[in-house]
Amino acid sequence: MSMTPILETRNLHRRFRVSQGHFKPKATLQAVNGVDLSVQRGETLGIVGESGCGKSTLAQMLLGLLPATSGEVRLDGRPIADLRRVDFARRVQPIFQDPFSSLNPRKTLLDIVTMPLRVHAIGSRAEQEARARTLMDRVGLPAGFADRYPKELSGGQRQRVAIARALVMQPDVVICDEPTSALDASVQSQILNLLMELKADFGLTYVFISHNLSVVEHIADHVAVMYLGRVVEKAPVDAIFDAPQHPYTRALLDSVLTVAPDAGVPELALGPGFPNPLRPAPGCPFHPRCPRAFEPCSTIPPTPVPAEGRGAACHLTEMTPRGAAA
Amino acid sequence: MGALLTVDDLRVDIATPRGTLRAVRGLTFSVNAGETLCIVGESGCGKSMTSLALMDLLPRVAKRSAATLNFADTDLSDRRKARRIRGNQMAMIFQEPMTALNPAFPIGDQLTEAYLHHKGGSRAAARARAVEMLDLVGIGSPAERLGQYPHQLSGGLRQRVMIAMALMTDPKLLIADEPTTALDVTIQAQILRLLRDLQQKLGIAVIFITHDLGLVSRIADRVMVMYAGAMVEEGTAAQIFGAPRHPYTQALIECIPQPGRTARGTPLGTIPGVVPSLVGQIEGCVFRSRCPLARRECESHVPTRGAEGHRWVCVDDAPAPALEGTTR
Repeated sequence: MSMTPILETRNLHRRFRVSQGHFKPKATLQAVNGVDLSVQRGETLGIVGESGCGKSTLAQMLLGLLPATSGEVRLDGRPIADLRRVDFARRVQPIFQDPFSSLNPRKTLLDIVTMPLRVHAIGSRAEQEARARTLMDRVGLPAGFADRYPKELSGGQRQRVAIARALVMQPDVVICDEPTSALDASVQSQILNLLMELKADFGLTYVFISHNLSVVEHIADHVAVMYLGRVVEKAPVDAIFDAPQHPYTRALLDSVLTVAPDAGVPELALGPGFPNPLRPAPGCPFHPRCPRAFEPCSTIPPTPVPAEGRGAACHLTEMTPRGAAA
Repeated sequence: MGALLTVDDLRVDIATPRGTLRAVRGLTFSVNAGETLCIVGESGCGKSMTSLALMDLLPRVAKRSAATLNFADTDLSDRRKARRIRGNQMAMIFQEPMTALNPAFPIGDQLTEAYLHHKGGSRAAARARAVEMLDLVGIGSPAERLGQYPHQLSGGLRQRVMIAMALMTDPKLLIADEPTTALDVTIQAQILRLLRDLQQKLGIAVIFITHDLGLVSRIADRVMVMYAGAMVEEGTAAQIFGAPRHPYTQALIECIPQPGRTARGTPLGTIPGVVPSLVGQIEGCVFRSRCPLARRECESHVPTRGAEGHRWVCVDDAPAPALEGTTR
C-alpha cells in the first residue's frame, strides 16, 4: 500500500462556463467534481459511467491536455504542473475512440507512427523508422502498410496504428478513451486481445475509459464508477461486478444486456429524473433517481471515496465500515 | 398465423465505378403479426440497406429488386400502393434521433405530419392524437411538449418522440434501425421495455436491426444473422444463442466478453481476416475466406440446411460444437 501510485488525482475539479443562450447568464458546469483516483504500476483502472459523467474530461486532464480548475494530477507522486510538457508526454500517451478522426489523413502510416519520435527528437531518422516498423509489426499491421494512408485502412487497422503511435514512445501509462467503441464486435475482440498482450509485454499501465461494462469487466483490475463528475464507487473488478455497493453501480450492471435468451429486458428501479448537469441535486447527486434514497441523501453529500481506498460514496454504506463487504 | 411481411429474394445493387456493389444478396424471410425479428450483423453486412429497401428509402444510386415483397397482401414493389403503406401501416424508427428530427420545427408539427398525410382530418384531431402518443411513450406534460424543439429534449426523450411519431398512424409493423445504439445503457433498458410493452399492448410486429448480440438475445422472437449481404443463419433466440450452427454465428458470439462465461482477462475469440469485397458475385459461401472449417466444397453452391424454424447456410450439417449446454 505504501507504493507511490504511478498516476493519481487529488481532489481534481474542472469547471466549464457554458452559455445558456443569448441574454442569459452563463452557467457553471462541474464536469469533474472532486475526483480522487490512483493507479498502481502495471494495473488497468477501468472508468465507467454514462454520457455526461465527466469521464472524457477526466481523460483529457490525465493526459495534461486540460488544466485543472483545482486539485492536481500526479505522476509518480509529482504534480504534472511541475513537469515539462514533453517529459510528461513521453510517459503518458493516449488512444482515442475514433480512429477516423484521430489520424492525419494526409500522412502515411510511417509518418504518423514516427511523429512522436520526431517531436521529441529521439534517435536518427533511420532509428525512428526502424522502431516504428517494429511496432507496426507488433500491433499486427502488414509490412507493406508503412507507405499507405489512413483512408485505405479499416477501423480496426486504424486503431492498430493509433496503438503503435501511442507505444512508439515507450510510455509507462496509456490512457484509452473508449478505444473499441467505434468497432465491430469481431474487431473489438482483436483490439482488446492486442491491448492485453501489449500490457503484459511492455509492462504498461492502462486507464481504460468505456461505457461498455462487459468490456471493462473483462480488461480492468480496478474499476471506478462515475456519476455527474464524481466517483461514486471504486473497488477491485471482482468486488464491483460481484458485489456492487452503490445503488447506481447496481442499476448500471442491471442494465447491461448480456447474452441471455429468456432473461428479457431488465426492469430498472431507477427514477426517470434525468439529471441536469448544470443543476445537480443537493446532497447526493444521485438521490432523485435512487430507489433506496432516505432522509440524509437529499441534504448531506456522502463522503467521497479516498484515492487509495475502495467503497461507495453512499449514505447506505457509510453505516457499515468501508471494505467490510466483499 | 399468416405472415404480415413476406420477402423473397430481396436484392440491393449499387452501381460504383468499380462495378456493381451487391449490398443485399437474395434475402428471403417473413415477419408474422406481433413478433420481433432481429436482424443482426456487423458493419457492411447489409442490415440497414435491408430496412431502407423495405421502406423504399434507398439512396438513388441503389436499385432494389425482389421476387416477392408483400405486406399484408399489398405488393410493395408497386410504388403507388407502397406509398400508402409506408409511414402509415409500416413505420420506421431511426438510430439518430438528433438527425432524424428536423431542428427547425417544433416536435408537434413533425408528429402530426404523417398522420395528416395518411389519415386526414383536422389539425386539432392530429394534435390530440400526438398528445395521446407522447403520453403513451411516457413523456410527461405532453401538451406543452408539442411546442418544443428537438434541441430542448434529451437523447432518451428524443428517441421516445421518434417512437411516438412512428406510432401515430397505428402501424402493424415497426422497423427499428439501431434505435438505442446512441443511448446510455440505463436509458436503453427503459426504451426497450417501452417498445416491448407497446408491442404487447398494440400487437405490433417489429423488425429490430442491431449489431448488439446481447440486446438481440433479450428481445428477439426470431433472429436473422447477416454476413456480406446474405443471411447465414436464422432461428429463434434460443436456437441462435443456445445452439448456433453457422461458424460465423458461433465465432461472433465468442468475440464478445460474456460475464460468467468468459474468464476475466483471458483472450477473446476473434475472426481473422476481413469481409470480402461486395463488388460482383461471390461464388460459394460468403464466409469461407474467414472460416476455420472452410474446405473445397465451400467454393461451390452452399445449401440452406435445417427445417423451417432454424435454417443456416453451410456445407456442414454436423451438430453444433462447444456451445451446447449453454442453453438456459
